[in-house]
Amino acid sequence: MNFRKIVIVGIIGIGIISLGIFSKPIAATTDINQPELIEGKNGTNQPEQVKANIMTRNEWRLSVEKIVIDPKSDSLKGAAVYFSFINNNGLDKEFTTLNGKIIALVGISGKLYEMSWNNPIDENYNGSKSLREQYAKNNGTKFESGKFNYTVHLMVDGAEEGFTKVIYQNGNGNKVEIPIQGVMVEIAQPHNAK
Amino acid sequence: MMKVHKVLIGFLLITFSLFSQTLPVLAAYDGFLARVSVDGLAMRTGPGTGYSTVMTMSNAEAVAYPGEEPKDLEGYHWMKFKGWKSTTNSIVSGWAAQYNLNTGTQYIYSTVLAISKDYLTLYSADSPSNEQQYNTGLSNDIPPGVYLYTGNGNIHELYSDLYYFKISRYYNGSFHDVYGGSGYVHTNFRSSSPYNYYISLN
Repeated sequence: MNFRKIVIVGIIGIGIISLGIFSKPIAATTDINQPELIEGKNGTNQPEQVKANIMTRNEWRLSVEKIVIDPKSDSLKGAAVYFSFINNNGLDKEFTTLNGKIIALVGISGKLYEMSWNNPIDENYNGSKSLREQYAKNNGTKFESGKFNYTVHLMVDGAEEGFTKVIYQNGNGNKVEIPIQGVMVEIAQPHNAK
Repeated sequence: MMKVHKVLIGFLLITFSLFSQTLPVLAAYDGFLARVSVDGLAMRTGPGTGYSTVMTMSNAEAVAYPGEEPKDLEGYHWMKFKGWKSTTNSIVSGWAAQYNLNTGTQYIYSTVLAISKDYLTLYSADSPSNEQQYNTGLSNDIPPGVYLYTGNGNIHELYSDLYYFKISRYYNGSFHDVYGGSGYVHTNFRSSSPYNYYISLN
């Protein structure tokens, strides 16, 4: 009898643990008109200031520039969100405190889309310097070390029409929600791709 | 008591099956991407000029370097490569002189930059049976003129018989992190002319 009790308690316990592991984080329900700063410190005494589409730190600011939605099927869409990092001290100034990464977007539906694959911003910025210089040279454009355009890609539900917020995680692992409002949404046109 | 054991075993099996995930598709790795820089370079059956010619390669032709130990013989640094032989429509392997040991002249370079020449679909796997289109944002596809790279010192990798090229990021004025961390694009290395490739190599 006691053994049965132990088994039953064990089964219930494992069930609860499994549920905890399998359940994904639920999107925060912050009012986008009154964005909530989840964490305002990044460990360098540079509090993140947040308003619609923009997050500002002492040295730089992050802006949401554009959203591209690609209807791939009735049930699936591709999406890309374009960001720019601008050095507040000038476009010719290299970033010295760039860090963190874009870890998630919240759809208009309220669904949280996590992006574990994105690389840290500073790693992308530093690792691509020679490539960016070469690209600017080959395309006859001015190389600006104080500007870094960055795009993240994800797949979303077919009914998703856009995003309400982006979640940035700073170098210390603290998360900041940036509300997205009034950002242009483009619908991608099909190409005869190889 | 037996009943309880059966229930317990059943539950454990269900839990185990829930935890076990689908294994990723194993890529057929060809090797790092390299580029022939001269016309008429011979690929031979062995590391030396005495071996018979498998095929003759052209400038800008792409080959894969599978990683076999190089050999320094007859004044040349010999390496084993894989390439596409257009006359037989087949992939062949052989040895070619990568550079001249005396003069330092290079005949085959590691590629440092690959640029898309056409719209390219990004695939999740390197096998046609496992192809699943990934969106890349600007449209359904990676546009022409994009700098493709792996992010690992631009050491480019070829998969599945010189047909797929693995990328993790690309740049076209904006830096793109590829959906899922990496993907594959068709390269059309199976072509009669190296200039028909979907990407250009530098």
